[in-house]
Amino acid sequence: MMPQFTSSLRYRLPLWGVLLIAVTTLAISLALMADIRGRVRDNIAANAMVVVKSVEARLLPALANDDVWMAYQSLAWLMEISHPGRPATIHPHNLLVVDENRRIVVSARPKQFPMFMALQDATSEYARIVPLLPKKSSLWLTEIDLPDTEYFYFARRIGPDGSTLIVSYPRQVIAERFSAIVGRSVVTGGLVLLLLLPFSWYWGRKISLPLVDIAERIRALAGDPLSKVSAAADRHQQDEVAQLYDAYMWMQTELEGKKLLQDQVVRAERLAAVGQLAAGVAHEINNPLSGMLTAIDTLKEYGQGDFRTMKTIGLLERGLVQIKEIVGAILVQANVKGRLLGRDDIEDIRVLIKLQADKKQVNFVVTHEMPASVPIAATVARQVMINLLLNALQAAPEQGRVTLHVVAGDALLEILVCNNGEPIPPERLPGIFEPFASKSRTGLGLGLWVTYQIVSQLQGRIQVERQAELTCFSVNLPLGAPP
Amino acid sequence: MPMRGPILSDWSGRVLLLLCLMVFPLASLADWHEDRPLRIGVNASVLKQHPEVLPEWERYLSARLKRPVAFVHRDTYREMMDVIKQQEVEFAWLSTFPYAYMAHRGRVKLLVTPVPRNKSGGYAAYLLVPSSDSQTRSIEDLRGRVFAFADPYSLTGYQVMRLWLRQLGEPDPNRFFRKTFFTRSHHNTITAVASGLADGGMVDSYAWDRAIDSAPGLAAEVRIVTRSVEYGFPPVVTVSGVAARYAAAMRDVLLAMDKDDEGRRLLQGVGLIGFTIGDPRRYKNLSQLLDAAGNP
Repeated sequence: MMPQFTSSLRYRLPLWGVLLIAVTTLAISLALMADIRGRVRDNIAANAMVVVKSVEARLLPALANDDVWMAYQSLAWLMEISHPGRPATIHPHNLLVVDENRRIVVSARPKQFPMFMALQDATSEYARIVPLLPKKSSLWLTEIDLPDTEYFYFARRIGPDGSTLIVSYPRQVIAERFSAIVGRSVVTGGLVLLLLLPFSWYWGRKISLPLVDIAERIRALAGDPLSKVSAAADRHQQDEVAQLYDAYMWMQTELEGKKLLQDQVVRAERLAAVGQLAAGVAHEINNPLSGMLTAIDTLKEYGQGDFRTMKTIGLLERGLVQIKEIVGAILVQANVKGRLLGRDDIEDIRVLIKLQADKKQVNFVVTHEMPASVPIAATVARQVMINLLLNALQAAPEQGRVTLHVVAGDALLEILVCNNGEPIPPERLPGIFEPFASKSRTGLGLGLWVTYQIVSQLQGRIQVERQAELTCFSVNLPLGAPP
Repeated sequence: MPMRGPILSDWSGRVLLLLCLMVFPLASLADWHEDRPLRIGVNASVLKQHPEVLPEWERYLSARLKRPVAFVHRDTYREMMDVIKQQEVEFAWLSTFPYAYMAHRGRVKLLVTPVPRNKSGGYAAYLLVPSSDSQTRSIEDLRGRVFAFADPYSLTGYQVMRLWLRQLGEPDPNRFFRKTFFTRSHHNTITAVASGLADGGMVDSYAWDRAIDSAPGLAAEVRIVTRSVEYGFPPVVTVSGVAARYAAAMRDVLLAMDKDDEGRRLLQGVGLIGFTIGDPRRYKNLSQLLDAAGNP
């Protein structure tokens, strides 16, 4: 399961999409948060400056006049400005003034930081900042930011005598503000992710699944081109994936065609080989056969046999003649000298076959488009037509139907023989022209094979097809030069 | 002489015109005198507590006196006394000690005395410490500490303490205490003690009562250690030189204030229940303090 999880596009693609979005969101959030952190510090520094400036206006004259109350008033108002509805506003935690001996002169929180208390004794943090207080007057505030402190401080010398104003801010404000912002970012980021991730997953799947499907089909195709794979899902867009599908479908069709063609070629070669062998054998048999028939003839003519001998001779002769017919059927001579096929031959065939058809009460229809004469050997053409018609008659049922249609074109003679009998079962179709393909009561199973041989040797084409309710054999024979 | 008209044509016309011109300003002078507002000096602490009070009093008094009335406010008793000396006001609501001081010098005359809401109508000084300080029992415990006063001319805010210290054999508050300062008002003194700015302070009973009403939380943060004897309540005075009829008119209006609803409401707003005829005898025990104060 794990390897599939990590290597299959169907998971990797959506996962990458999800990861990308999450990382982007995180990166942006972190960048923003870092920025805001800096800003909050800047805001505090700015606030400190404003506070110091506004306090000094009243504080300095009060201190000059030793007016304790006025000095206190100039600081005390700051302790009352925290807004109840906005707890995270920036305002100082404490302000105090120390003299040059670092004793408190006045503070905003007199209970904790009374007059005359040494700053050293105030809190541990104030003790730590004593050595860091500014030694020189300046327009700017000195920022004192020590590690591990609850507050950070701004200080400024406000008098020539060394008195110093110290403002403190709680770090907590930064933390509160920051965590408020972080909280908001997390929630917003979380919501965005929640919305985007399902989409991203969905889109990743949408792209990856067709690719995975095609990969599987190609894999199947490689194993067995004619395996039945279910039809591809129908695709709306004409994007690259759809094109991939189309290419795959074309390839599959081509491969199927090629396979069929290959099978046909193999079969044709096999049939041709068998044909050659048979022809060779027949040829060999023919010679002694002729001799034997001649001998029988001689015996018949000149023999003085008794009745039994003459009958036996007759039997021998008939047997040998039968063999000769079989051999003759096998041995087809392509360049048969003889007359050309004509309209009359068609009529002959019609008559001949009708006799047989009537025995089965089969309806036999002949149609043709034939000129008077066509440049093809009559014998051969007749043999083909007769073979096919006899076959068709056998296949047709009682009161069935057999048709012959002949058309002589410029270059081809087209013959179509159909019957309305039981269709040939699909598994027998590929080998229908092979010898002994079908065993019927009367035939040897060689008829179609012989026909095939004739057609092949004439460079023609024969095929079986199904047309509506009819099983048809169609033959195309090239019309050649007159013999 | 072609450009002169009929009136200026001879000397009798000119004299008549001159007389007319003289009468006119004299007439307006008289009116002007009557329309000029009566000015009453007050200490600014009243303003700070209830800023809406004074305009309402001005309207009420103006309507009753049928003359405009204006309050003049000053922050410190010293400034108030200066304003009286320079006759920039006709009347003033003075704190007890400044009254005694100026009455002694003939600058003011007692008109009416306000009656505060507390039962005795009296007026005393309270010594306050923060309520977190449970040790202090008397002034002696505050030796060497930080102390807040309201105003150097304040009877209760300063002079009484000086008296007490003299009775302890310590003539100089600045040496008895480590640090003293003035807060300008009694209410501020309460704030100073409550916030811890001072370890102790002096306020008067009137300011104390007002503080309890307006800021009960503040009053809870301080504790009264001792009280002084009673003194006369800060009176309303007439500045010397003001015509008797004006003084009488003002006196009558003030005395009648508690007789109508509006008047009572205004009185209540500043913690009073009315005015009574000023009785100089109630201010007699100030002479001790005056001697102690010397000539500030």
